[in-house]
Amino acid sequence: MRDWRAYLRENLDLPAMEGLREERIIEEIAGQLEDFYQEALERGMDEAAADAYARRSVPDWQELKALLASSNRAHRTPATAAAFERSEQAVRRRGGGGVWLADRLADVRQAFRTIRFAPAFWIVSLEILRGISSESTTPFTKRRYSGSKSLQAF
Amino acid sequence: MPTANLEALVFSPELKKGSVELMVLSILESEPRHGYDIGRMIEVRSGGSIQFNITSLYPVLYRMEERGWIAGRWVERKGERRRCYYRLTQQGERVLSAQRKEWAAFTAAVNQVIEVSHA
Repeated sequence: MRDWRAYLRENLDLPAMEGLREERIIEEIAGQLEDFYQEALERGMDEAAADAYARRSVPDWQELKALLASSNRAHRTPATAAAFERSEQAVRRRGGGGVWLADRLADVRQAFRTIRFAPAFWIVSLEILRGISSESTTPFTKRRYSGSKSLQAF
Repeated sequence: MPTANLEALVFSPELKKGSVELMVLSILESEPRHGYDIGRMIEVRSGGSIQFNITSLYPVLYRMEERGWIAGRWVERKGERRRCYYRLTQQGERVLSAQRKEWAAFTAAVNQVIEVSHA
């Protein structure tokens, strides 16, 4: 069977993608190509025909590259999220309890990502920040006011 | 079973574009699935009329994940290579509910427009 990862790397260069994201896309799509290949074998095709069948699943590499790049560009992963993902993968590689911990880290990352796009979260956060900011500037305002009053007296 | 080419498509890609997110969200409503399975389920549920290939499915999945509608997680099962399973998030559930209503209203409106007049 063909090395589908190598085949993808030959045809799909994703220079604009971050390393981890590119890795993930390559692994996932290579897996899908393998699925198509296996499916074709199960349907009675010989290896050459199955290989051709799987390869036909990406008729236009430029189109795929452009679509993947645009889906990435619209919502680029922030540096903090990428760092989080890296530590998650490092923990997962340890195996055993590390897999469990990595799953929990993935949950936290997902929660932050969801919050990022939740308007209610931002409205509440801004209101709280505005509240804190008005509290902390009040003494300065009073002082400035009293200062201007004393200037008027002159 | 999903096919690896677009030749057998019954509906045009333009027609599918507007509904692909809704279809993916609906497929994931019951349980998490990997990309190949999502494509297969869409084909099975549509009676073979709607098929997706790699180019038409994966960019959509990544976009939906970045929006926080779905979440992917690698799962390794005995005797199988690891696969990325997508599940619906709470935000995705809300989007699915809203899109279903919108789709129903839209198709109803289109049906009214294209209905043959007997007057």
